Amino acid sequence: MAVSGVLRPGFVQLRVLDMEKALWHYQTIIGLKIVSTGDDGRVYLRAFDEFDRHSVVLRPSDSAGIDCTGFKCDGEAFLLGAEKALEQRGVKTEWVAAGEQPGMGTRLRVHMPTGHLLDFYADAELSEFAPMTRNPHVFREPPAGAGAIRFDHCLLYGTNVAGAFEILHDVFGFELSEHLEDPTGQPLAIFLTASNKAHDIAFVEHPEPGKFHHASFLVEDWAAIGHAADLMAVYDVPVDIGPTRHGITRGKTIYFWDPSGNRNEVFAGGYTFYPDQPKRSWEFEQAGPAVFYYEKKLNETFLPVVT
Amino acid sequence: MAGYRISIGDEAEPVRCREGESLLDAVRASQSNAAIISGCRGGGCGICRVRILRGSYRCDLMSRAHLSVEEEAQGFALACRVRPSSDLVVDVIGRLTRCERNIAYR
Ligand code: FES
Ligand SMILES: [Fe+2]
Repeated sequence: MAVSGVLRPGFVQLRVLDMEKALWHYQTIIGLKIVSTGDDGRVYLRAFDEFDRHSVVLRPSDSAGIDCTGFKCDGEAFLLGAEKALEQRGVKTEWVAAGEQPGMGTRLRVHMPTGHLLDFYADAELSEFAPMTRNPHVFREPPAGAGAIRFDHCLLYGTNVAGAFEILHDVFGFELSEHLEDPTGQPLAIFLTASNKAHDIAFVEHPEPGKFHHASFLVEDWAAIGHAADLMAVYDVPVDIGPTRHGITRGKTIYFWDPSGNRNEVFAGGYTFYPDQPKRSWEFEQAGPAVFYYEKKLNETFLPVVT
Repeated sequence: MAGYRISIGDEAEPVRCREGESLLDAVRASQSNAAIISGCRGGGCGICRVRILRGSYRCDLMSRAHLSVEEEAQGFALACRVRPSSDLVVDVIGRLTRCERNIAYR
């Protein structure tokens, strides 16, 4: 199997201030469906083309932001190997019990130097509404909203991005697909992939640890991005920027906010990554087109607005 | 003209805020030079932080990460969540400065 070890981003758990408004947003705008609601108030959702039970977890809280994001891996042996390697490096880990999220096996939780919790797990229940596999139709029923195909990636802001890179590269096998330098040539933003995608997770160096920039959802193409933009206009969803394109990854994008202030993205395209090919990078002076390719400059919210 | 008069910082000309409109939306819609940085418009990111020096208002849900109970009692608030119920005198605090050392805006 060519993609091994870490297979893909599997879920993200976000804190929301007002669950009713959040559920309206994630269903009507992004196009997810509710899977279940837990006794603790957490609500589990999934996109129509995902096989696993859920990919988005919303937790009611008095602050917004990210609790954790998880990666589906190819087996228990990989997790045990990672646990040992992390222990040798002095990186704090713990096991989250199976069933802490319904349908999920045990998760190896890694306390990243950026202040984030990344979970790695090998077992997740299949959804009863998983995509068809035998003479399959493109969907069982047409998706709502932007028609999100699946959860795609997170961009996280925090301290010691270089430390995060070492862990994800050396222990988990992620590759650096692309990066943006700060004025001294050190990495300011890094884009990492565990697969053939342009990125599966990204980090930006930031003085406060544990911050959340956005969770991104894959949509089909420019037409889908256009439809998402129409929905945001009709329903007056706060839009950060877009439709536009990222220079980094080449993805077509809209950044917008959920009703609790967590940034979301709808994303289409992006190049295909192969580990043997030369890597792309951007000088600090070109940060504008690197982030917003058409505008050629950053807006005033891209760097400071996080939850 | 209906609504409330909102005096912001050193701006001579007050901003008009309609009944039920948020302080941030009123400033965004106005021609005033008074600027409150607008981000998520959902009380989550804290970028639109202000201090209300005079007047009455109510607030929708705001993230405790950006506003403690004490700060709220001292008149600090997130402008996107503030619904005035009288004329207001407001100071803009923002938190854009926090990242200045990381990057210059162009
Ligand atoms: S704009 Fe984000 S809290 Fe007001
Ligand atoms: Fe993204």
